Parts: sequence; C-alpha cells; structure tokens
Amino acid sequence: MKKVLLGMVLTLAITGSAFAGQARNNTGCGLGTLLWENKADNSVLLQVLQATTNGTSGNQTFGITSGTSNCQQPSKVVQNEKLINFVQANMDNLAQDIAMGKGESLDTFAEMLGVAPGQNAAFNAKLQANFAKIFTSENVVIAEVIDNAVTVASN
Amino acid sequence: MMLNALKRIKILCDPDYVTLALAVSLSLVPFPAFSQQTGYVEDLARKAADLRLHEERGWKALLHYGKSIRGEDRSKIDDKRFFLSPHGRTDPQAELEATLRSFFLADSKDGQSSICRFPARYAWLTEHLTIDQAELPAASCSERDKSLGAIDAKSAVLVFPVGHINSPASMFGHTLIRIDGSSKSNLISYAVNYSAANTDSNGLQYAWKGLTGMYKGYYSLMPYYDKVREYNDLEHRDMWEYSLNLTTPEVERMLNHIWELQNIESSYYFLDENCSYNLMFLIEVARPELQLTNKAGFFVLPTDTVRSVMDAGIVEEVKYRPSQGTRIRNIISLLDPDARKIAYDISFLEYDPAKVKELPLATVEKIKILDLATGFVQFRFSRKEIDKNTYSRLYLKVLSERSNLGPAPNGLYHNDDPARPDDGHGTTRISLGSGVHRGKLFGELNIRPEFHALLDPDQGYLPGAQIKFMDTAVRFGAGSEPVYLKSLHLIDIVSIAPRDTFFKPVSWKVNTGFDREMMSNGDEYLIYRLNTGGGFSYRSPFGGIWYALGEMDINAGSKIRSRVAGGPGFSIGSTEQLTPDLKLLLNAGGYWYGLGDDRHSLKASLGLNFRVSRNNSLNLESSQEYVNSRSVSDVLLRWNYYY
Repeated sequence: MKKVLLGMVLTLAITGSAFAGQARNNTGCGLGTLLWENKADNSVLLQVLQATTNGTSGNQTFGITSGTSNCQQPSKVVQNEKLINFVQANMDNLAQDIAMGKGESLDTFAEMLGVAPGQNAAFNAKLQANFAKIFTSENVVIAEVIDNAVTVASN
Repeated sequence: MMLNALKRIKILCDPDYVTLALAVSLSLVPFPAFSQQTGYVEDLARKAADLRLHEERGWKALLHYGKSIRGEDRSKIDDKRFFLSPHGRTDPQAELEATLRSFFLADSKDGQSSICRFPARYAWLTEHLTIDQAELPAASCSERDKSLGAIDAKSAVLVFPVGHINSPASMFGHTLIRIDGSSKSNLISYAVNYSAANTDSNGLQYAWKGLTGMYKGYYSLMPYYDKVREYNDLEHRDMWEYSLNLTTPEVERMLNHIWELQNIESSYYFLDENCSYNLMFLIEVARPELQLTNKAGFFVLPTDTVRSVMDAGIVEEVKYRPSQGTRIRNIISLLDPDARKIAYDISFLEYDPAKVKELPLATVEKIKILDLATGFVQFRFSRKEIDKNTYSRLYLKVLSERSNLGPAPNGLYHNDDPARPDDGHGTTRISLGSGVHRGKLFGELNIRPEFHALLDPDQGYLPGAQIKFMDTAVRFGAGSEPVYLKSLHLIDIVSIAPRDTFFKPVSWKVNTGFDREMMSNGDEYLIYRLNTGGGFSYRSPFGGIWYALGEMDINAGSKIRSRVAGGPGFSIGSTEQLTPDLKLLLNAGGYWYGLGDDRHSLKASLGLNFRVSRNNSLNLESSQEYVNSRSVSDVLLRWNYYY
C-alpha cells in the first residue's frame, strides 16, 4: 500500500529511547479511561436526579488549554497537547474505529495528524489492516498508539 | 501638559459641564497624563448617558438582566465579581458607567486590566461609543488571548441530548452550545454548558436544594468529545445538533461573553433558571434582537430552548447523533437470535471471538456480530460488570478479529432519523371533552401544564416515558355537584423501559394527587393518593411494549373507614404506536385496601389517541371498574390542544 503523508510527523526522526527511561505516571493513559469513573453512583435517586443539573462536582469548569497531560509524549509527531488529550479521552472509540476502518474518532485523529487531503481512505485502510501493530497489547498507552499509527501509515 | 489637558476638555465638553470638568481636572493636577484620560472618560460616560446605551438590549443581555417581580431590571447573576458597580445587579446604567471607567484604570500587568476580564463588554462599548483606542491604557491579556485563540470560534450549534428513559428528572433532556472552529471534526470543538456544582450524595437533599436554588450554577467550557462520551456513550442519550446561522463576529461575541462568565456563579433552579434558560442569554448576546429570554415562559424546558431558536428562524441544519444504546439496538435488530447470542456470549467471555471467523456465515454477518459484541463489551465495562483488565483484553481481542474483516458495506447500519424533538407536540396541554359516566352525560376540562403523557403522540418524545405535572380535570355533570374536581395529579411519572437480552432496565411509576373514586358504599368521593410501583416490560414480537408492575397504593380521605387506607396492587398493560398517527394504551389493574378499609377494585381501561396535527390530537378513553362488585363505566372523547 502506498505511503500516507502526515503533516504533523517530525521530519527528523527522534528515537523512542529519548523517552524510555522516564518514570511517568501512565495511569489513565491507556484503554478503559472512563470519564464517568468519579461520578457518584451510590443512590438510585441521586443518579436519577443528577442528570437534571448535569452536575459537575468541583470547579473544573474551563478546560480550554487543557494543560499538559500526565501521559508519556509520543516521539514521532510534533508536540501537540490537543492530540494527546483527544487520544487520551477517546482511545477506546479510536480503537473501535480503526478496527472498523471508519468512524468519527478516526476522522478526527487523521485530521489532527494532518493526513493529506484525499488520503483518508488509504490511511483508514492501512490502520485497519495493521490494527494489531497499533494496539499491541491491553497495556498500550497513548504515546505508543500514536507512534505506532504514524509508523504504520508512513510505511 | 496641564494646559493641553484643559484645552482638550474645553473642546470636547458641552458648556454645561465645563465647570465640573475643570474641577475634576484640577483635582488631578499632580497626574496630568491621567487627567487627560479622565476627561475623555467623562465625555464617554456622558455620551453613553445621552444615548441611553444602558437601555439597549445588547447591554442587558451582556449583564443577564431580567425583570424582577416589581418589573425592575435585575440580573440573574448574583455573583458580586460579575459587577463593577456595587449596584450593578439592579442598575444597568451604573454598571455601564463603572465598566467604562474601569477600562481607563491603567494596569499594565498582564491579565490585570478589566479589558482582559470583560472582553465582550469592552467590544460592545467600544463599538457603541467609538472609543479611541489610543486613549486607553495599554492592556496585555495573554491568557485570554491564548485560550480564546485555541477555540477559534467560527460558528455555533445548539446541542440537545434527549432525556434518559429511566431517569425521570432527565426526561426533559438538556441543552448546551457547541462552538465550532475551522477544523472539520466537531469532536474537538468546545462545548459550553451551564450546570450546577454539587457534591451532595443524598438524593432528597439534592432534590430540595435543586428546586430552591441552593445550588450554584456555573458556565463551563470543555471539549465536545467529553460531552459526546458522557451523553452518547455513558448515558445512552441520543443527541440532536441544531446549527445556528450566527455569523463569525456574533459567535466571537458569544465566546468573549463566555469568558466573562468564567467561575461566575448564579443560583441554579431546576425548573426555570436552569441550563436551558441560561443558555438563551448566550445566543442573545450573539444577536441581541432575538430577545429569547424575554419570551421565555414560567418553566423553561430544554425543548423550549430548541423551539425558541427554531421559531427565531436561526437554525440552518439539524443533525442526529445516535447514542451507543441506539446503535447497539440497531445492530441487534439486524441479527437473528443465534447471532445475537454469540455476541452476547462474547461479552460474557463465554465465546471466543477468534471462532467467529470460522462460522459458516457471510462476512457481513460476522462483522455485525463483532460490532455488536464491541458495543456491549463497552457497555458492560461502563456498568462495572467487568474490571478494567478483563475489559481491555477482551475489547482488543474482539477488535483485532474485527479488523481482519475489512470495512462494513456502506449503509449497513443506516437507520432513518427518528422524529426531531422540535417536531413533537407542545408541552402544555388543554383538553375539552365529553363522555358518559355511569350512564350520565358529562363535560370535562383538562389542563396539564407540563409535559407528556403515555397516550400523547410519541413523535419527538421518548416512547414509554410519561411526566405530568399538575394534571387537572374538572367535570360538569354526572356527579352529586354541578361542577367538581375529577382529578388533580401533582406529579405522575411512568417509565416503561423494555428489557431484552442485552439491556435489563426496571420499569416504574410514581403518582400522587387527588382522584374522585368510588368507595365501598358505591358513592364517589375525592381522595388523596400516593401510588408507586415497579416491574418489567418487554417488546412483544407481535407488537407493543408490554409491562407488568407490582404496586402499592395509599389513599387518604374522610370517607375511608379509618381515614387512611393502603394495600398492594398490580397493573399490566401495553402501549403501542399502531401507525404514525394512532396510539393505543391498554391497562388492567387491581388494588386490595386491606389496611384501613375493606375495599378492593379492579379496573380495565383502553385509550386511543389520534394525532391530528403536531399540536392537536383526539383521545378516546374507556374504562370499566369494579369496586367491591359494584361496577362503574366511563367513556370519554376529548380534543387535546398542545402549545
């Protein structure tokens, strides 16, 4: 299959080893990171009512520049917090879209990676065909998923 | 320098103000540079007063002014930090002047100027007073510029996540606004939400505080994908996206205003000053002539906001975003029972997904099985039925198998959009009817202020969900008095949620209010009732959702033997939209008031609703009741008008 051009890929390949020794806290950087984990669920009535106020506990109200993610950074793309945050929040849906060969999360991922116009179909097909090379194990983290996807697409 | 300042004042000021301006400038002699600006501020303040800018809708929207009970201006925001004048909450003019003056207070520290804090007010005043930028002290607002720049506001979308069937308080749905930038994907847009901050875990406390405004509401801004995951994936609520025809400058104004609302609190009321009401201010700031909040009624439901933007003619396009639950149900409907069972077993780790490829089935069937399993594995994890490690391993195993099958054929999961929420009937219903009760003719007037009954047409509403507030029926004739109250239900909620192999919700009901009922002596009296029940419902292969509920009924009234009576009961029935315009509701129920009375009743009823138009329908209701073997029959035909 032909090589997919990605706008966000580092032209100068930095080796993964630059990050290898880092003792990062990678909790919440893999699959199954659910945003509803801290939702109160101790009373049926509360659950029933919660949706009215769409209650947010605490004041995490303005998440615009979402800040540095506590996850390991990918090495093959230009530093991009928005991409990391997106993949962190949508890793499960992204995995599903890649396996299915299409979907909104995958389109977003492609756009953020700067997939060249007209190459979306090729990008989707390549990623689908190499699913196991991207999601290598159940412990895979964001940085690996992004780097693996970039490697697969550029080969 | 001093002379220059004085000259300037003379040139700019009206003669009447010269004395005052001189006094002001003289008092500021030690700071000649400042006095020059002061003179300019005075001039602007006068100009604003002459133009009566504070009376303009644009200004009032920026400050969220509404009318108090006495008809005076009063901001819906009670946070002092939102106002620059101590009287700002009730005095638009004082607030405008204080805001104007604050812009001229030089503070060169980054982010400290009120220009950084109130960019929408600044832009509005600059535009309406043609403020000369050169006269303003320099302000640098790097944090604001970075944040607002990241959002890159271009257009806006009103988003309506529909209600959650099993959660009555959310049955009304919710509204938020999405701000789209130049990227193609909407998931990475930002969503503005107005919500209550709460940390209480006691349900009753929660309800009480919510109704009485004891919770503080905040505007928040977050990536849209967080909201999609929350509503679509976690809560299984479909979403509707109404793109608005606001221009880029209008959307920028809205975003600037959202920045002003950061960390500003206001009291949250479930019923009126809620998410939907407060979002209208944002749209109004974008385009003040819309005047949405002025037109809002007593209760503001999310659907009201949707209707108000539809009525204002600012909706360009409507998009449907089905929830995970809807998508799963759609795949279920495309599979035969054996295939469903395989998907189900995969999610319970009782069937190896690797074996799917060996099944003697067409590839497309295998795709459907694995896609269904994927959705259901996610669902089971969100329900905490499986732990994270089990989930991750199983999820990847299913997806890995799926990735080998290639893309699904185009349109495989295509499903027509359901009726749009704004296509549904209005939430207030007035009915006029006539019928025969125990052989005597009567007339009936029925008023239901909110929201939707099981027998109302389903279009735009959740099938099987009912919420009625203050449903009141008055009858004329066929009773001991000429005019009497037939029923007044304070609240009447029913949630009929069908179970299937995959989803197992509980159906339930709560109803309290007054009813005219036949007592054991055969006479009819008004009683107060509290009725509740729970049970199961299923979709029948022959049509209709069938339910069976176990119930408890408590009655209080002067004609009950010991004033209060209670006992167990049941109801079984079915609801079905027979054709798009014809709906059927069947119910049979029985109660035994062994405690406090010696009454038992059995009642069977049939209801038919014929939809005439969006806001008109016709009901035929008939019932037969036996109370201690005396029988009562009731037939009623009525016209319903919704608005």
